[in-house]
Amino acid sequence: MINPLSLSGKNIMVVGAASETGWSIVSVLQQLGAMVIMMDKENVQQDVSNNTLPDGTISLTFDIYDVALIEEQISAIYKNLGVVHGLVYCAGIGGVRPLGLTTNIFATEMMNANFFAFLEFVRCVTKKGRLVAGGSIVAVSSVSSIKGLKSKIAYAASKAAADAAVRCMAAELSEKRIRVNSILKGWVTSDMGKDFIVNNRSIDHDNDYNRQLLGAIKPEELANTTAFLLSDAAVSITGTSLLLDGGYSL
Amino acid sequence: MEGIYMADYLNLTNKRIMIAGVATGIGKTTAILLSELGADLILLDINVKELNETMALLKPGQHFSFPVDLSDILNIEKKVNGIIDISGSLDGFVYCVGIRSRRPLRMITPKVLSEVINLNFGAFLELTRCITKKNNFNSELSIVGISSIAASRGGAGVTAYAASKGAMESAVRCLAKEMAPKKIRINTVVPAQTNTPAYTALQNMAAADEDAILARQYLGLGEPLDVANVIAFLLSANSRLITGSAIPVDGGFLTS
Amino acid sequence: MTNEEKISLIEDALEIEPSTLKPETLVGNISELDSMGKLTLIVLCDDEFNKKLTGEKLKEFNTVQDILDFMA
Repeated sequence: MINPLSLSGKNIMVVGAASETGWSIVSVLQQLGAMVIMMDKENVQQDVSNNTLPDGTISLTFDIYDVALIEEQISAIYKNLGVVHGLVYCAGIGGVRPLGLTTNIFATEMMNANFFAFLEFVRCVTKKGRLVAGGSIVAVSSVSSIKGLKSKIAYAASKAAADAAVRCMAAELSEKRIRVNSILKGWVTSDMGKDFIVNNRSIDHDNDYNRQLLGAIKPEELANTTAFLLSDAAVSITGTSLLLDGGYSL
Repeated sequence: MEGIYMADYLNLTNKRIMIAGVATGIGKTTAILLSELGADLILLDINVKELNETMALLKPGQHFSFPVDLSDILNIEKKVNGIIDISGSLDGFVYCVGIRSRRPLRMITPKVLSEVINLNFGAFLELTRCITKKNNFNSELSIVGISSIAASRGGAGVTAYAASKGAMESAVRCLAKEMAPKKIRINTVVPAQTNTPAYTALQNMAAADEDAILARQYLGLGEPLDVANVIAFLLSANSRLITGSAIPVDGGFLTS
Repeated sequence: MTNEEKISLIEDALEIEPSTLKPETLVGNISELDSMGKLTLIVLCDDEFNKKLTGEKLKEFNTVQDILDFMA
């Protein structure tokens, strides 16, 4: 039987690979046969005993939020690999801040990491001859994009900006048969999610967390959903924001 | 029914309302309408000549006008405090400023993107943050932003614009929840194609799929007054239970 | 800016292979000038030359030289 999620022979960029979520995604993609180009500010988790990267991966470290550097990095990847089949943007920053402290500087920093950098990655990777026809782009977004939460204004706005851009890019890139989608995750038990569940939940958001009816979401689930959207199983899915929220937004 | 006085419906007499972006289009029509409904207005615009022209069209009232460059975001706080010192605290705020950016993805450089997001969203957020500080507003303050069908609809050539409006709608959902204890409501109106100079300018550009949009906007092209009417309603006490919403004024587009 | 430089700018923006366009190339033969391509040209004229190109005006262009003249 052919595995519809197979990514064999595909070169996939994962931006934000060093986070727990990113690493989950890298693992799953690599197991599905992809050559994964990991990009982040620091080296991803390596095989401690051998101090090497896993097979089927390449690591590029640079400030992924410095939009001026992105074109050069992508150009270099293309020169080395000749072609890219997919892009995953799972980088970004979280943050809880009430309106009074949501200064323009804070809001801009959030917007830069969660949206500006994402858009620049897509813009550069979809230049002629880079991302192939039939290529797939996935952004990790959040249910905050569509539902209001207190003290998450800047974060929610940045995710909604990215999701609106996903819809437009899907329309504009459809001619090249490039698909663009995002995943609206609820609280995932890794990185920011872990921090939130452990530290911030009690501040007002307990009722919110309980709305995630199916309970905790593991990073592997996010990775599997990402793989699905990258794969040929999702060949007619574009411009959508897939809910991975355990029922939160019901 | 107790408390309903039809004669007072949409009466904004003595309500102090700040409107940003009054030179043309929806902002200009909204300013005139609100003055007709009895409001005292504070007009903000970057263009002095057009600011004065709009001012001259208002029904007389306790009106103020201030030329302001809202792209200078870091100075907004100081300016707003100065303005409210003169005019008094606010009952309403409408944000009608925006760049109708139309660019292919490839040409949306970081610099351009930043400008669009800052003016269409960043300044709106900063103004909201400032006017909702203690003593700057009165209880039952109502805030309205102008969004667009682009926030939820994907189209080629409008990525930056759509993102800025998506950000606005999302922020409004959070702000509504957060500011509710202070008795502040905040909403957006969501126009589709509306007959304004900005629309006319876009019609002159190629790659306008305006006709395709109008086909789905089956009630036809909107007029600025159509949108202004809904803004006025959202500013009034009659919309007491409406907050965190994006109200389509779209001739049927979004459900078509 | 020289004509060569302008052509280079146009080729880059429209993602046309360098040195493909000539001043005498017919606008109607440039397949990259689809609706997004036209928008690209309009934005380019505004960004680089501060000229507002409209859809109407664009329809009048016959050759690449007409575009270069507009950019003057």
